[in-house]
Amino acid sequence: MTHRFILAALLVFAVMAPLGSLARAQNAAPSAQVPLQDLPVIETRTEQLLRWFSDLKDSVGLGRRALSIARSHGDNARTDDFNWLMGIAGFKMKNIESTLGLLPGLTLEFGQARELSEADREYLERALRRHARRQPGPISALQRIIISGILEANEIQGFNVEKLTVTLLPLPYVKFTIAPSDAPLGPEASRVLQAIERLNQRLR
Amino acid sequence: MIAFRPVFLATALLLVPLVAKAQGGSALRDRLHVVSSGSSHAVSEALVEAFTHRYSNVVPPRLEITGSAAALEQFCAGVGVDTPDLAITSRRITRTMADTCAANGVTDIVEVELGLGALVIAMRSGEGMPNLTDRQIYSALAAEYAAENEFRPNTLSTWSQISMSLPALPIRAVIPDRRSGTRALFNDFILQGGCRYVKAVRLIFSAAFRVAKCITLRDDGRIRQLASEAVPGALMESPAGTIGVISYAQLLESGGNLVPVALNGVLPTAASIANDDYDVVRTIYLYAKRQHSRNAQGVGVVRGIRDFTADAVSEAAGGPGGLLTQHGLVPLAPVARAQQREIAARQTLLNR
Repeated sequence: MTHRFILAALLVFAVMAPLGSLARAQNAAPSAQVPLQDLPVIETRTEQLLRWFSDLKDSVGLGRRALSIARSHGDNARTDDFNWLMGIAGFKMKNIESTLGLLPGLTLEFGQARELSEADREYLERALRRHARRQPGPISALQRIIISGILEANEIQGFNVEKLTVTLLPLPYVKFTIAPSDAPLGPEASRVLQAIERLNQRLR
Repeated sequence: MIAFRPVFLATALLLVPLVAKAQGGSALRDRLHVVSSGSSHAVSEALVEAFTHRYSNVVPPRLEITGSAAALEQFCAGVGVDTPDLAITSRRITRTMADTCAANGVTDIVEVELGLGALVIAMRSGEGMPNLTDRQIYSALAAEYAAENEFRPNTLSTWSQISMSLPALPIRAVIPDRRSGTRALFNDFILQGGCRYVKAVRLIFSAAFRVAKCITLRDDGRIRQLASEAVPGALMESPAGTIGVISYAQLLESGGNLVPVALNGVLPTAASIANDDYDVVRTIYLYAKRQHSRNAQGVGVVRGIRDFTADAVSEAAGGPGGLLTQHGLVPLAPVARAQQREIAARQTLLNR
């Protein structure tokens, strides 16, 4: 019985103690210069879902926040976002597939835009090290794993990462398309080569 | 144990010819063969000198100075008495080079980091150049610049034509020639770094073609290319507005006659280099061929590889105030130094 009373008293104290300190803080407010704070926003489930979706887009450099940073920096944007890291890894975004519904979907497709030189590779490795120091969060870590995966895959002799598909929603996964470096040309590239050849013959 | 180690090693090295004779005249070498890049020659010479001083009864190692790439090529050429035992370079062995090594039979490589060095853009003391970016240096020195849809010859003549914040002095530069590791770093970090975000260059798919566009320098007499060690002297005699590309060690050796120019807003100091804030920082590596050490059966090319490696990463060499700091190297972080000592002690193999 006594134990129960002591436990109940401790529980009450545990609950009331923060309230007491809060009351003291409120009494001391005029002299303490507490900065103004926003009240917490009450969100509906849908709003929460949309905010989460927006944050996710931001994290890969597609949200309004990231895009406005990129715009303000022009071509020299060195924002530490996924898009920037993919850029220095020689990949460029080809398309974004975004669907809203009961199960929202978001897929990004990147294509190889340039081969990497040794210096580019060294620069990228350093950028990843700095990124890891500045942004240790789990999403940033995932971004770095993807970029490192590209670097590793490109080390396979005779093969190149041709395309990368990053699906964030509904279930996150990354798909690497690796093709032989000397793969036969597709019909479109063949047509372009034939056109160049014809042009050369005419010029001769 | 430590006290008689040098004596033990010395005795062992003196016995090498006898062992060789006993093994039916197999050609074991009596001295270490070290190849070094030109940019880390001061570090290599200091390490060889310290080794010779410590093991005074052994034949001094043979030190060969060449470029970083050439040093690694020699190192990877194969296993045997004609190939080097150790390589000291300012560039990390690439995976391609590691593959070449493996193809030539060099499979057991030990890699240790000795410390950090940096490339510095310097001017004569008293000349003002507030800050330069890699893009500005590329714009000043590249053979061509991108204009609309084509590349045109670079005709810029003064620094102020690049940016109003720069002085109205003629563009001139003294840089190391192609044999130097410092030049390779200049090409990789500053010229390629400067053109990395140039849109017309960025659109080029082929790495080889893109690199050529970035690192080809103008040949209108504004750039002097000299041996790495001759650059500080030539810079001292150059007209106002001349920038020089030197190593951090050379900057310290100049005794204040040359001053660093802030690069991308950061001055090269021991702190900024150690913190990875300064952009043009390189790690100096030592590669050891473990296959040349004697194995359990008493067969090997030379003795002393492990001792040389352990000495090079000791606190006396690479720690604060150590031998290598006197030659311009900035010590690694304490944890990293401990890791390197462990690698050297265990002769842990490189896994790339």
